[in-house]
Amino acid sequence: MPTPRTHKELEEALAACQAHHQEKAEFISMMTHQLRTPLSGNKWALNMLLAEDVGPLTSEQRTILTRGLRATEEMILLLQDIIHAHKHDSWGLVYTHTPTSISSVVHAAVCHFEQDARVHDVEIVIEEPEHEADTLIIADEQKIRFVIQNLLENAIKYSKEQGHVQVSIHKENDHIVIHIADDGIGIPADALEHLGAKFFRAHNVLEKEGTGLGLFTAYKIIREHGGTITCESTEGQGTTFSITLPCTQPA
Amino acid sequence: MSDTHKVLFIEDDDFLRSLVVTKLQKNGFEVATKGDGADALALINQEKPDILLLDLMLPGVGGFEILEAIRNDATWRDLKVIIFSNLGEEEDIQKGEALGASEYMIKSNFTLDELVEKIQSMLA
Repeated sequence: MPTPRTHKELEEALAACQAHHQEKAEFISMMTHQLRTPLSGNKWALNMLLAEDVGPLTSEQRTILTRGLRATEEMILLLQDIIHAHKHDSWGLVYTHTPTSISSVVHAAVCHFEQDARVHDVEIVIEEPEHEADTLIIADEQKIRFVIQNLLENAIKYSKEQGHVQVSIHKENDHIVIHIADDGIGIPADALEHLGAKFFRAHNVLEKEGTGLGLFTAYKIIREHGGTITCESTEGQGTTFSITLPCTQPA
Repeated sequence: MSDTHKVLFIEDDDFLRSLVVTKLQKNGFEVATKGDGADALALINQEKPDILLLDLMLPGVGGFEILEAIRNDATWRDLKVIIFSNLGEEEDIQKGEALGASEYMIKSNFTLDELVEKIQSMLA
């Protein structure tokens, strides 16, 4: 494409880019749906074989099928990451700010991971002063929910056995502060400063599936709400993410 | 056998359909299936299911349209309907809820054992 010069040329170039972007978004949406269907089939088929729904298994067969199932589940999670990252990292995010109850968002996010937490033997508790539970802030509810879910997902994924996750919400002057604290594997000191960089993953999580896009997107969303997100962690002992969001919409 | 529950499963993918049918039958359900969305209400009238398991992206008539038709039908407006799809964006889920889906399950996030548990709890 030649370098555009006039205002009209710039507008045309922008429109062309937006049309191209829209096409790409539709393609990715279609592709991810199409990919999930055969992956669901794989997951169910392997699960049924492992449940011995269609006959008994030898231990060797069980081992192989278990590995196959794990690989399939990893693919499903990677696909999920790609869908989220694509959705939240295209053309800048479009925000729909409405009065939002952080308490409801947190409860919904915790509810979303109930089953996951059970499977990983992780206990999640929410702490909030009762009289602050109906505090509303001006925010994009879906995107804040994405952030909370992403942090909870990490807390569960990188937990130790019989792990604990504590989510606390409280008001500080004209800000809402959310802490998500776990007693999981922690983040190495040299990795802390790189958190939130695109595709960054700490060396102690490389054996688990992931793309390094979740935190990148979460940091971006909080920044663009005029808030802050910080992390304190000790490797082997646990991690606390702290989010601060202004109660009123940034001008 | 009069207490056997009947599940109607509308799904266009043959492999997924056959796995779900096998699993549900092994768990004592009677199962009817269809591979597209055409004439869904007529099929429901004919099969009289206790619960409908409904994919969204179907050839012909889509799952949301079918759900809408069910909720506007005097006989079947209270039918339990689980949307069972791989479309799982917030807006899809919200649309499903707005149209009156009883549950929304993203296929790849569940095992068929979990699906069976869900159906059993909804029919209990």
